[in-house]
Amino acid sequence: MAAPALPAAPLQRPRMLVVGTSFASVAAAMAIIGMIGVYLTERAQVIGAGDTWLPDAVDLPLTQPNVMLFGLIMSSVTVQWAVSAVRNDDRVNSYLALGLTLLFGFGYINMTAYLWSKAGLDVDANVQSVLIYSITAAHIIMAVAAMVFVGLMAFRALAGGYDARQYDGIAASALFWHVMVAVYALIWIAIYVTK
Amino acid sequence: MTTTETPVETGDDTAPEVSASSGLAGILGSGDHKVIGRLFIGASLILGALSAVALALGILGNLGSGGLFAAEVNLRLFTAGQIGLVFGFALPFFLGLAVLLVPLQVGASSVAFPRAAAMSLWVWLAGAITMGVAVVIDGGIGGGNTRAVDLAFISMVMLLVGLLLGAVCVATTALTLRAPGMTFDRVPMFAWSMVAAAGISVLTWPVLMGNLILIRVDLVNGQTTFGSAGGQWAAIAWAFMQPQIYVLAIPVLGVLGDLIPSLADRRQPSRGVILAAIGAFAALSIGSWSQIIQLNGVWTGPFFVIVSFAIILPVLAAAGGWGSLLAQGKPRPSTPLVAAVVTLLLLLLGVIVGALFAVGPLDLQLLEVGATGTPMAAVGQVGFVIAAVAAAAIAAAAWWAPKISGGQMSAGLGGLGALAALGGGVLWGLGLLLAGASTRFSGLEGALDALVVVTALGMALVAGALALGGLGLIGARGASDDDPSGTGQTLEWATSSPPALGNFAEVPAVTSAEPLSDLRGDGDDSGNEDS
Repeated sequence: MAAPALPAAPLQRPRMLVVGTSFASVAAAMAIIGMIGVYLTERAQVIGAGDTWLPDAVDLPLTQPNVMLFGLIMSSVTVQWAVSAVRNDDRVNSYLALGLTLLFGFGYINMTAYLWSKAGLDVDANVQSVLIYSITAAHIIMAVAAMVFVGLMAFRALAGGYDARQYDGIAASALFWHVMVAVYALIWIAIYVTK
Repeated sequence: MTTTETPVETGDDTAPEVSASSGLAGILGSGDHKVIGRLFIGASLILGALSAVALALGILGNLGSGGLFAAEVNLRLFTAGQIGLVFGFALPFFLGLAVLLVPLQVGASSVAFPRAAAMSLWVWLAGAITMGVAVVIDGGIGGGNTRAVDLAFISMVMLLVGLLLGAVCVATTALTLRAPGMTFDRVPMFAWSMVAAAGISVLTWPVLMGNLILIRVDLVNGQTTFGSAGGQWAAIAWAFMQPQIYVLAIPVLGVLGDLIPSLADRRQPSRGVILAAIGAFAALSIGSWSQIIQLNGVWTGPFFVIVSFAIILPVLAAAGGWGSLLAQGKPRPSTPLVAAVVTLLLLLLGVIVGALFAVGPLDLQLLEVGATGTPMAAVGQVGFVIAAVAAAAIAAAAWWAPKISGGQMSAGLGGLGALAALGGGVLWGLGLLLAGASTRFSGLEGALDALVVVTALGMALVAGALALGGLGLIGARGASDDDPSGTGQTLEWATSSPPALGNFAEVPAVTSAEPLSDLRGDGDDSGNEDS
C-alpha cells in the first residue's frame, strides 16, 4: 500500500504587502486623526468662550451617520468574510463578500453626499464648516482608496491570483478597510455625536 | 532582548525583480534601488544648498534696515528655506541613502515595492520643483498670489506623500526582506534607525498633511482661520521646531552607529543599549502634539519641558558608547571620522540648546523672526540640528561612497565640508540663540544686527558644506576594492562597489550583528557575538 502523500509545506513568505499596508494605513489614519484633534481643540475653545459650536443654520442629524456606521461595520464583516473564504479556497464566497464590501462602500459615499447637501454647511463662512468638510472629505478619499484597493484585489482574485496558500493581497486590503472603518467611528463620535 | 525570527525567503514571492536599462530611459524608468537612491541623494544636496541660501537671505530681513528685500519676500524666503531644508534636504537625503543602502545592509536583492520607491522619488521631486515655482511667482507662505499659494500647499502635500511612500518601502524592506539569520537585534544600526524614523514619520508627518488640507480648504474658500496669511505658517510651524525637528536626526544616530564601530575596527559592546537609545530618541521626537496655534502655552507646559530635557539622555548614552569605542580603537583620522565627530558635537549642542529653550525664565521664546511667530532661539536650535544632519550626510557619503558612486570621496572636499558644517552650525545656532536671549540680557540688544549677519553667514556655510559634499560625491573615484577600509562590519561590504543588479551573488551567513567581521575572523572583543 502506497504511503499517503504528505501535505505541501507551507510557503514561508515575507508578507511584504501586509507590512507595507500597515504603515500606509497608519499614515492615512493619522492624517484624519490629526484633523479631528484640531476640530476638538477648536470646538473646546469656542465652547469655553461661552458660544455654541455649530451655527444655528447648520443641521447635522444623527440618522444618516448612524446608518453609515452600521453599513461600514457590516462592510468590515464582509471584507473579513472575503479573507476567510479565500483562506479556505472558497472562491464563490470570496467574490460575493468582496462585491458586498464594495457595495457598502458606495452606500457610504452616497450617504455622505446626501448629508452634505442636507447639513447647510457654508465652507466660506466659518471654521466649523472648513473642519467638517475637510475631515469628512478626507475620509471619503480614504474610503475611495480602500475601495480601489479591494477592487484591484477582487480582480486579481477573479483572475485566480489568490488561494489558501497566498492571500496577502486580500488580507492587506482588508486591513486597510478595517482601519478606514475605525477612523469613521472616530469621526462619528467626534463630529456627529458630540456635535 | 526579544528577537524576531525572519521568515526565510523562498519561492518567487520575495523581493521583486528589476530590470536594467541604459541611458536616460534607464534613469527615468528605473526601479533599481541604487539608481533611485542616487537621484534622491543628488537632488536633495542641490535643494538643501539652495534652501540654506534662501533661508540666509530671508533671515537678513531681521536687520534693523529690513534686509535686502521687502518684508513679505523675506517671509517667503525664510519659510521656503525652512521647508526646503526639512523636506528638500534632510528627510530625502537619508531616505535616498536608505533606499540605496538598506536592501544591501539586510542582504536583499532589491527594495520592497521598487515601483513605489521610484514613484516616491518622482512625486517628491515634482513637489519640490512645483514648490520652487510657487515661491518664485509670489506664492509660498503668506504670498500675495492666492493661486500660487494654493500651488505651494499642494506641492507640500506632494513632498510629504513622496517621502512617506519611500519611508514605507524602506521600513518594509528592513522588516520583511532580511537575510536568513538576521534577527531583528542583528539589523545594522542605520537600517534600524530608518525603521524607527519611518514609524515616527507615518505617525507624525500625516498630521502635518492634515494641517495642510485644512489650510488649503480655508485658503480657497473663506480664509477664516488656517488659510489666512497670518494663520498659514502658525498652523504648520510645529513641524519645523523641536521636538518634531529631531525626526531628522534619527537616521543620523544610525549612521554614527554603523560608522564608528567600523572606523574603530571594534564590535559595538552593549549593542542593545545603542539600539534602545535610537528607539528612545525616535519616540521622544514625536512633535505633532505641540501645535502652538491650537495649544497656547504648550512651550511652557511640563510635558514640553520634560521631553526637551529627556531627549538629551539617549544622545548622551549613544555618545558615551561611541566615545569609549573610539578611545579603545584609536582610529586614524579620516573624512568619515572627522564628520562623525562633528555630527555628534552639533547634535549634542542641538539637544542642549533645545532644553534651554524650554526653560521659561530664560525668555528665549519671546523674540520672534519677523512676522512668523517662530522664536529666534528655536530657529537657532534648528540650525544645530540641520548642521548635524549636513555633517552626518557628509560622513555617510564619504563612508559609503564606494556603494553610492563606485569611487572614494576626496578627503579634502569631505573634510572641508565637515568643517563648514561645524562652523555653519555654530554660527547659525549661537547667532540666533544669543539674538533670542537679547530680551533677557539687555547687553545683547545692541548686537542684534551683527548676530543676524553672523547667522546668515552660518546658513551660507551650511549651504557650502552641502555643495562640497555633493561635489565630493560627483568626483568620487578610485575605489579598487569592494571594502576599501577593510573594516566594514555589515552586509553591504560583502558585495561589489558599486553593487551589481540584484546586489548579491551569494549572501554570506549571518550569525551575528557583524557578519563581515565574522567572515574576516575578527575576534569578538565585546562579548556581543551570539552565534
